[in-house]
Amino acid sequence: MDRDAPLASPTSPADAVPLYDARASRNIAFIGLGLCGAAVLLGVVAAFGGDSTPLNSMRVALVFIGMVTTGAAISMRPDLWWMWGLGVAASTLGFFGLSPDWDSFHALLLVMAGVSVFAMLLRLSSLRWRIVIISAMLMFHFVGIFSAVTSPPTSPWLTDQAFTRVYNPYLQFIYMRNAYHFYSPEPGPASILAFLLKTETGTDPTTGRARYKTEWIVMPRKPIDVRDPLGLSYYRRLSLTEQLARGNAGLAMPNDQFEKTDVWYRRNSRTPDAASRRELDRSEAIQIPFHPTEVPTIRQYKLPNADVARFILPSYASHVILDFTPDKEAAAKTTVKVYRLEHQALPVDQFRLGLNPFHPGTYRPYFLGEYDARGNLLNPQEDFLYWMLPVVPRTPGPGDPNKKGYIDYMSVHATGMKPEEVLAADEKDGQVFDWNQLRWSSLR
Amino acid sequence: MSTPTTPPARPWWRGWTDFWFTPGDPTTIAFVRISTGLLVLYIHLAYSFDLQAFFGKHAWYASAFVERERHESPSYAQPFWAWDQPFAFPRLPDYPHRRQAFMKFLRALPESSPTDTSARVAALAYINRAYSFQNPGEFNHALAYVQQMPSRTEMERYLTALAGNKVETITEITGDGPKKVDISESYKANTPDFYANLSTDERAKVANEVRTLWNLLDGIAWGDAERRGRNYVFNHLVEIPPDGRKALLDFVNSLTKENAAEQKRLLDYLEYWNNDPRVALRTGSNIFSIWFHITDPTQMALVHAAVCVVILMFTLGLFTRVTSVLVWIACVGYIHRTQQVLFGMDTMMNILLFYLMIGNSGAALSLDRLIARFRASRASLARSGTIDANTRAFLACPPPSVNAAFAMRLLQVHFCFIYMAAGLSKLKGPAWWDGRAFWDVVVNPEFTLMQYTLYEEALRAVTKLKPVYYVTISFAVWFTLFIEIATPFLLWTRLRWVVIFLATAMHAIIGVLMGLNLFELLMVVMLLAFLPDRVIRDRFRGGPGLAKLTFAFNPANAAHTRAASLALALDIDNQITLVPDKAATATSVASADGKAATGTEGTAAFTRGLRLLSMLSWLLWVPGVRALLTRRLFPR
Repeated sequence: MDRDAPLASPTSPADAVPLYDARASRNIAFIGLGLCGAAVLLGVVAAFGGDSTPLNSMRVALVFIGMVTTGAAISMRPDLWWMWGLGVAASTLGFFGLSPDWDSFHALLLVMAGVSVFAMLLRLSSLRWRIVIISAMLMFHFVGIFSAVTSPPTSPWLTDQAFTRVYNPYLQFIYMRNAYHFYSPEPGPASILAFLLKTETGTDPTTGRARYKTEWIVMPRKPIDVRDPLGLSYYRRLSLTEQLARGNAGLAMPNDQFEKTDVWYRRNSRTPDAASRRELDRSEAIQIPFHPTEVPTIRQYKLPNADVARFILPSYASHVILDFTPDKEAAAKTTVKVYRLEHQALPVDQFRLGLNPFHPGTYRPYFLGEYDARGNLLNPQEDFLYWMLPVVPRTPGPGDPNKKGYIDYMSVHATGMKPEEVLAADEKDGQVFDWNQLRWSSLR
Repeated sequence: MSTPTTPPARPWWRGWTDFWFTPGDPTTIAFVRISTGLLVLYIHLAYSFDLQAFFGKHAWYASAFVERERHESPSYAQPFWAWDQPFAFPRLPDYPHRRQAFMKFLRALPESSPTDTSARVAALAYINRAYSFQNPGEFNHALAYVQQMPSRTEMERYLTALAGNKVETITEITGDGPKKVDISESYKANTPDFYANLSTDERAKVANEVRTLWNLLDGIAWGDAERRGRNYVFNHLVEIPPDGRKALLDFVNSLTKENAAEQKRLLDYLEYWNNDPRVALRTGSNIFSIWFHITDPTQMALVHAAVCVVILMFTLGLFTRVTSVLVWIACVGYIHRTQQVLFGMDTMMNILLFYLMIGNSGAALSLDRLIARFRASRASLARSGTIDANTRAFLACPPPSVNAAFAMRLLQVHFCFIYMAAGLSKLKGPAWWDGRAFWDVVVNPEFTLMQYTLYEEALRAVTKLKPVYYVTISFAVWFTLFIEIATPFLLWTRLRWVVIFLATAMHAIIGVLMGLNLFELLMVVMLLAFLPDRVIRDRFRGGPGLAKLTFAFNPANAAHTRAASLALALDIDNQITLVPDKAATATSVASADGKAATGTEGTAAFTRGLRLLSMLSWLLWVPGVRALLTRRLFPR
């Protein structure tokens, strides 16, 4: 047999590859249908039984295997309209076969049924109508993509209506709502999260005050969180930190005058200048100056977006407590202070002078609140809440016992220590924040 | 001399159908499948380290939160027809202490039921009265009037003055000793004119309303000695914009009509979602994920392992029609569960998987293709005892496919949307005009390249000479903008090769400088969709000097024809010539020197000579594989 002879040009695989037997495909689909049907029957049994958990697990398995089996059968003969009809039937049975707590898969099965109906209609249509229907779907899809692309504020009325009323459910389901505005309008600074865990360990017998164990946690950690060769796990954590950066910077907005005044007043009253001006005895309360170069100072306040404050931040705080405490009892006695460290990239004029891009002074820590293990914000009226806590560069003099080139007011705030105590503390001890851990230390 | 004639213009619909529905070689989509599959496999293997941290019950974004989000999150739309209907909703303050205070106030409102609303109506009467004033300034004044009553004694004095009565006289210590002072005037002076001018009965009503509101606020445990929460409630009502104030008060008043359970639900919803679910276009999200339903760590690990296996099957092109759907469902499940860990890479991955699910990506470069080759050969041998023309054509290359070409078109068009949006949106930022955008990216200390001192020193070297720095950043942003904005146009011209090269270079540079390797690799995979079919197919073909083998078999023997079919299925480079031999008792393979081999030796010769198998010869070391192959190729 000469395989180098001139070739014919088959227009379809069916010219050479025999089609699967329709009856065999149908029988396989019936097996899938039967499995989904069995899940429905188990559902009926579960409704009358006691503990339905094992039955529900079986129902999930039956529906999954049933759907895959039916899908395999359809893939054998997708040219037969009634095979798609069996797909509709399997999806419907699967819908009723799954227990109610698998609700997100109910939606998926409904969509599968819809797709099967669509494919069945296509199979029943003439070629001309198939082209018309698919073209209409194409237009629908890409108009949706266009609406997603033009949806970020400020969007035109038409986009707004099309996106929210028509496309959002569709695009959300297939996860295609991205507007692709990468690094737009400008690339922003990255963020690091620092958490101070504070666990109550007992009572001091002499003072009667509670004793605490503290621990600083950083996310992402370098290089520990670069867990895979391409650093994906690290970048995923950077995405987590980026979520908390969403918010409104500053207090110079048109509304909320009383509130801004109050927020400003309370913060301002905690600066060393204000305390000395009013000659208040504030020995118990920590005093933290504003950042000297971030002016006007109202820009040092950043109110997180509503979703960040209401559920993302509480969830993160809760996760950190549960992840870094040994058991529930310890978690219940633990609170966490959350700080977002915005890491400013050095402008070229500073970079060229040889300044260290990891100098603590390049970070802008914001206090995001103290939370318990359930994610409750403990003091919504904290004077420093959502304020920047500066890391102020300093130049140690010749006789200065402290050689640190900065004063870390984040640690002042977190630990309640005085600035001079923080300055004197050894960062390796773990009491105050260790800024060295933010460097790519392993390779530098 | 004949004049050149222009071909007749195609009707528009012909152009449309030609663009979308012309059959194409599935090799391109198959190569896209393999590339995507490998990257997706890596992405999900990398999840293995963080399964609990990202998707577990107590993940960074915990199950409880995502459950609430997918069931309750509201979406709203501007009114479609009405011009005068404001697009405003009841809003709580964003400041957490103020929100907490306002919720305390709302929860402290007296209970009511649809049949008995009197107590709640009375509690809200004063605020509603204030809101009924046409002038927003009067609303503020009316609230400030109550806000300035710090104690019950003060309140009674104000209300006495409001009633027109004399406030009790107080004794003040002056320089001349104790002195009785009539303070009525000061209270009257602080009474708003719009109340002072009311009738006596109306003033009495106002007094009652004030007293009810004041008592309500006084009864709330604000949690601090200064009772600042009380002020926060007033401040919020005063400062909220007029449309929002109306929406908020309408919401509060509407609670009166609901039963206690519904009131509680609505207040909880307001506190969490900052809105009223009754006016939402829809609540809840259309998302699905297996991780919504499985949170046990062991079960999660098993499911995750199964997902990785299915991705591997998809990459290899095994049962691709089924596995492509399963892979998309599984991967979107990870995406939907925790969107906080996503970035552009996941978006690109999803787009690729979605279109690969539509197109028949397993029609080439796949195990499915090998199976189809086997079935085609076997059918042909069964039909005619030989390989007929159609089958030979099928074995030579996969037949053109409408849906494979259609899926590639989808990917191509979508890619143009991505580039255009990415390019045009950058024009909004000043940093993309003056070049700082490039600098801010390359010097970002959190990107992984900054871990290398060498890289940092290279950057410093660039900044040594000012013109070098400015030329570098200017050309970098111009290059980026040019590629992103021009590519969607140039890709359809003869310059396609140039822009594919430039765009690939851009992604390579970004991948290196920012460390976003996988994102950039996925973008490059998308660019592959623009490569002509032959470019990819030819790269996978063996060269002209491949060994030629003959495979002898007995066409009358079913096991022999099956073995011959298998041999042809594995022969993707047209190396084998079948030799029917009706007298043959065993199949055998022979190389160009004519030396025939069967059994284990035949398998060895076969894997040595056949290019595909020689690349996979390591598989023979897997226990059982060699024996299985021998049994199938050289049946006894």
